[in-house]
Amino acid sequence: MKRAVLALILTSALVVLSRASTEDAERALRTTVDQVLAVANKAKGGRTMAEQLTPILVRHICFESMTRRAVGPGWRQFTPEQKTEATDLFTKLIIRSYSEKFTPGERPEIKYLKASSPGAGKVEIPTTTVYKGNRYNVTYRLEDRGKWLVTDILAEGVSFVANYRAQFDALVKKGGAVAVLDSLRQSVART
Amino acid sequence: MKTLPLLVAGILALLVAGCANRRAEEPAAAAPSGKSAVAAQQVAAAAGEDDDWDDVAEVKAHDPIEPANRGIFWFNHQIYTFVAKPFSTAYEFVLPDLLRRGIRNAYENIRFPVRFVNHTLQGRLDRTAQETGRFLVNSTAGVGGVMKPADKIPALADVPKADTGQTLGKWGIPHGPYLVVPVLGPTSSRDLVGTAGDTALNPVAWLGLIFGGALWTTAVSAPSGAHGLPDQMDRYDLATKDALDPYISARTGYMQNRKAALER
Repeated sequence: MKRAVLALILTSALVVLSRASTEDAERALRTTVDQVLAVANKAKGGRTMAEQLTPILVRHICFESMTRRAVGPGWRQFTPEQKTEATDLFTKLIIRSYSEKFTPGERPEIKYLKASSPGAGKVEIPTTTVYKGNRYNVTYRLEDRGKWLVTDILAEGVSFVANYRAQFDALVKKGGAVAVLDSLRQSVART
Repeated sequence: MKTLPLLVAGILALLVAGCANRRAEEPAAAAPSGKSAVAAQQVAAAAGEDDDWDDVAEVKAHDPIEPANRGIFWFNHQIYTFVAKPFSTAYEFVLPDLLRRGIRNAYENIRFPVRFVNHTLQGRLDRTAQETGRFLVNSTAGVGGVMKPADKIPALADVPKADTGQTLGKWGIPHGPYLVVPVLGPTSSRDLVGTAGDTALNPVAWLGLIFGGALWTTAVSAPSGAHGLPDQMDRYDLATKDALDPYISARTGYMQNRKAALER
């Protein structure tokens, strides 16, 4: 009997903790999205948009984790200096790519759907986003790293991280960390 | 009373397990000094980072004719850059946004049989009913589908799309080789067959057959192609513009998107 009560209390405690986590994560995501949209609606597009969004995105997206996961197991071959450079370059690339998705004056309508927790400290928040008359399914992955940070974005099932992983894999096989860094430098330099 | 420490210990154990990844990434200063510090870092790296890598679900493409596909991909890129994009820009410039959206909505509405048949063939009769509801509401209150009042009705607002390639996938037929088709772009052998099925189910194609004549077919199908072009160009740019290898980015994006559509 005692065991059953204990199990019930433990399960209830976990459910409460899990719900608190998903609520915290959702609150963090809403704050991020609201801040991004406030800036995106005022920005003029292109470089200006990326420059203005950078301080917000750096605060709410875990770029180190995104870079490490995008590179994959090849990350072990990187020296600490190469890891730092790769993260800096990939951060610039992601911010530029993300910023290009906004057309000034176009306000997306975002509906947050039921969040789920695929593991401890991880939350996935699906949304439906209506933008320029089109409906998109966008899922945000967040992790608790002291505070809730975005670690991946999936638009219509296409994961940012997985998409770059496929590209990095080929580069790591071809020329290791040097090839990855060369390619990142070229992509960032491209306008 | 004995249960309280047990309960606390249990919750603490779970919380500690939940923080494991974060600990693995804390600076080395937090670890013990000397050899044990290095060992601690290695263990932490193995525990934390390897888990991270497994999180990324890779979707492999079977691409036995990659060199030929890359050639067609390059050809398509020239077509998109020098023909489709200027046309798309001109289309957006000439027609006001509201009119463009109306045309796009109407053509999407006309494609109702594609979605109706495929939801049914996939055994999703709930979605067949929703699609039918959307079609009826948009065709009547939406003036022939030019507007989408069904989007304001929660039960009809978000019905996943269905196509023939998706149906074949649901029936267990694999993608087969990945292909890049001139002008059309990325597809797979299965989805190429699916495109033929979608065309057969599309009333725009029926009208061409019924009334015959190249002029009629062009008059009906040209706006059908034009209305989707700006969105397609946007998607193409997003998939390739900041890619390290645009070909791989488009291929992975296509495979992930189709996998998600199948699971939806």
